[in-house]
Amino acid sequence: MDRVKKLAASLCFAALLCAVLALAASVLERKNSVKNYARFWEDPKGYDVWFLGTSHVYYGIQPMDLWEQYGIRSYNLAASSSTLPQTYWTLVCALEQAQPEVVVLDAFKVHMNEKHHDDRVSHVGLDSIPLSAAKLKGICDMFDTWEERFEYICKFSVYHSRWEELEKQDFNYQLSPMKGSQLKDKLADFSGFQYIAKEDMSPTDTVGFCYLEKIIEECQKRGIKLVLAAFPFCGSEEEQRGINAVPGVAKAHGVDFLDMAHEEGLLDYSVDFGDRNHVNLFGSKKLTRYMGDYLSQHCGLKDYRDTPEVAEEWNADFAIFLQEKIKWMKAAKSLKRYVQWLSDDRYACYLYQEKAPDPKGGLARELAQLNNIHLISLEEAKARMGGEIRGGYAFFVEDAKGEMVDKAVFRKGKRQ
Amino acid sequence: MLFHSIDFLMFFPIVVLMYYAIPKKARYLWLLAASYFFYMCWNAKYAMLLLYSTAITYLSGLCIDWCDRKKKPLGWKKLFVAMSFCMNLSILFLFKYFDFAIENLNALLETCGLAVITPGFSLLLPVGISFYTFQALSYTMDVYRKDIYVERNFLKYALFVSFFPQLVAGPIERSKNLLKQISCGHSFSYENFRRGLLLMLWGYFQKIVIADRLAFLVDTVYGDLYSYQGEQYLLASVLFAIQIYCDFSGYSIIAAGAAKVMGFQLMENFDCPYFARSVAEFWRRWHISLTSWFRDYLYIPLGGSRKGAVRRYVNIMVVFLVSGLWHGAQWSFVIWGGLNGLFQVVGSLCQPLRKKAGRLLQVKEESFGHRCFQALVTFILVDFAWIFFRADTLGDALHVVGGIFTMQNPWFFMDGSIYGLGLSQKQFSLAVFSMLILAAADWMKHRKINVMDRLLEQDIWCRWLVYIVGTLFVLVFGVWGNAYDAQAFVYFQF
Repeated sequence: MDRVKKLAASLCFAALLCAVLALAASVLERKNSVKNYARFWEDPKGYDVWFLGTSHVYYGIQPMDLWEQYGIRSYNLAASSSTLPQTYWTLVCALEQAQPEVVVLDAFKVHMNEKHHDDRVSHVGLDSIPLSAAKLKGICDMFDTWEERFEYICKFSVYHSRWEELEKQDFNYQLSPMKGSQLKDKLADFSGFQYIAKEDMSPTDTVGFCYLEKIIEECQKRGIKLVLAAFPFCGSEEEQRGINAVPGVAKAHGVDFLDMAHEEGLLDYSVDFGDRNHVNLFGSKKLTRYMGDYLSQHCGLKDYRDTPEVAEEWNADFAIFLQEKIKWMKAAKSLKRYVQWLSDDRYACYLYQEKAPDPKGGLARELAQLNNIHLISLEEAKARMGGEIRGGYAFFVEDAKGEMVDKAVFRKGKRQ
Repeated sequence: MLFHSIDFLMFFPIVVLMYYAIPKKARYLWLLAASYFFYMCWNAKYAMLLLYSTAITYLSGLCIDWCDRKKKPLGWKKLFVAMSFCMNLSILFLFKYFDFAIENLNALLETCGLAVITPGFSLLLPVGISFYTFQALSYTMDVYRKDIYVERNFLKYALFVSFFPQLVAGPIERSKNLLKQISCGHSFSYENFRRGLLLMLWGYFQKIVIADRLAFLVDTVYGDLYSYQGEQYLLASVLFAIQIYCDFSGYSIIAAGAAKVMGFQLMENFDCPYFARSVAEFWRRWHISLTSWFRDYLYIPLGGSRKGAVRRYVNIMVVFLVSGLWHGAQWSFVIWGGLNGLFQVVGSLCQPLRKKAGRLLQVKEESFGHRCFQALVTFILVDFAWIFFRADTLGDALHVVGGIFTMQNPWFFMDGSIYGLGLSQKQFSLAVFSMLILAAADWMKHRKINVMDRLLEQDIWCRWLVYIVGTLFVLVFGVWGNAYDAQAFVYFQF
């Protein structure tokens, strides 16, 4: 009896200890992965389109805009610097729980022979995936040593040292309403960029291509429509050669290939990029529209905007998404970044400018992208502001109901 | 595998589970296999050296026993002892001291204008060789002195030499203690299991929370000495004293805890050494297993204190110079050992003078203030010697000493500069807090308060709270996992 009591007490203690450690682990864990992807892993069903790949995808495609404009339910499972093996295992883990109608895969990184990057960036994509047999298999496949594998199986072994960096948001954080996407509000001019010839291709015997084939096989086995995509980027020749070899693989397997990189007139390379690899808000708007048109015309997806039980939840998420965008708009301290947030056609923007910007400058190019901008006089600007305006640029942003969402004055490029 | 590695965290539960699952009579075989596996994880080839040392000392025991049974002359027994020592120490010399010997010989040859010797090979130091060699040799001596029966079961004897909790960094167990326990079967004891795990937790606290954290600061300064000055040297040297204590003591406690979980009792290796009131007392409290080994197998055979004061002081110096050399094949280690010996000799010589001064000044020797003063002086002397232990070369050690004595900026300790030496303010504060916990625990032990007994007397909720908070503290604040480079145990180089 004494033995039984001790055993029972020991088991209770072990359970309590595990609970406390699990709580500590959840507080200490870095929240990048959780914030972006936890919403998906909580309930993977209910998404018809999964976007997979690298940061090209999560900056390029906005699921909430796809919802609002096309009624498409999608999630952006793309992760920073995700190699094809990581993308494959993310897909396998997700398919254990749900199955979409369409998978859109960015084929960037096919040229690589490494299964993972050395700088632990894989944590961003892998941390929020619940531990399962498939995830374990994936970790063992991607990483060679048990030391490397252990940090993905037991994230606490890496994050326990974060006690120094803990902030309020580690204890009380909000999941991102972006459905895995992010937005880049920078401006970089790549108007001089030239893609290499499409015929210049890399060999297809890399690890990247091997896992691309596995992804194709996995989707076709399950009857999922797979769309391979080349997202616009101003990358190295080696990276471009890899992408150039993808159409051949797609054709061989009867899979659609969406070549947004070479699509004439899709993007303005002088204004649609935030950096070499990622489009900004302007570019994202165009790519999302392009993707939405393609999905609605070629994939037979249902428009759920008229389905009340679905629309209610998604519209609520969309409202939160708009609130977040307004928050970021209000937080933008530099003029060029602020203008990016005005790319949203839902708002009307009234602009007073002391003098027109240099036509060759970045600001002029950004303003030219806006469909919703109206120039106003100084008097009207003062009236809207309710006070003096001393030169520079004054913006007044209104929503569809005519309610003021934001007003901002910029002088010398900085918000006043 | 290190005690704080993922490998050990997987290895240990499996070993313990299997240990209690298999029949008692076969348990030592399982432990032997596990111990060799543990050692071979470091370097599989060098397990042959462990086996060699085991075989030689095992055979020496049988031969010595044969001499006794056949009533052979004493010289025969001494011959077998000498052979055992020579064969084992020659291996130790080859792997540990050969390069050092060649280096010094070449220095001498160069001075004489002769051609230097270039050895055609280079050997990696097998981990723990100094420990298991001494442990095995202690058996030879114990059999010779008839302090222990001869172990005829080679596999049981092999387990005595290779028992994994204490194989690579001690404590250096005596056959009288450990060999007897191997022969007894151990049933599962909840009390041993619980106490063993608590000991391991305390050991991990010392090792991965304190020692490995202080190592960041100590290594920053000692790793780039000429970028720092006296104030930084002083801070790093003081913290090194704590680091090496926690590193070594932590390991010994984890070893003792792991052994206790399986029902084995290992000897205590540290007894609040920084509360010692003299250097001699310090060495009765520090690395007790090694000090007692040198006392029983070197100091006493040399005559101990039985042959007059001068001979006693010579014996002390010999023991500590050899001890220094045992710690490392470098002159700085020899000097470290020599300093410790010198402090004891001078301390002994000055004792009558100190007593007279005490009587004149009416000092109350057992007063709290005087005890603190003695402990502080002892710490300063010991820490001074640690400089030679930690510095990479003798030159570096002298540079550090010089820097400390020409310190010019005492405000360094108060103006926030200490947070630029590898530990942020939060990290440093955590280290200080942890050292205070350690000091409190050691003080209670010094006052003969058994902290573990007191804890286990408490109500279940209180105990569980301590266990959970302690475990959480060690896991969160410990330096482990891939967020850090593993800070290997300091004594593994021996």
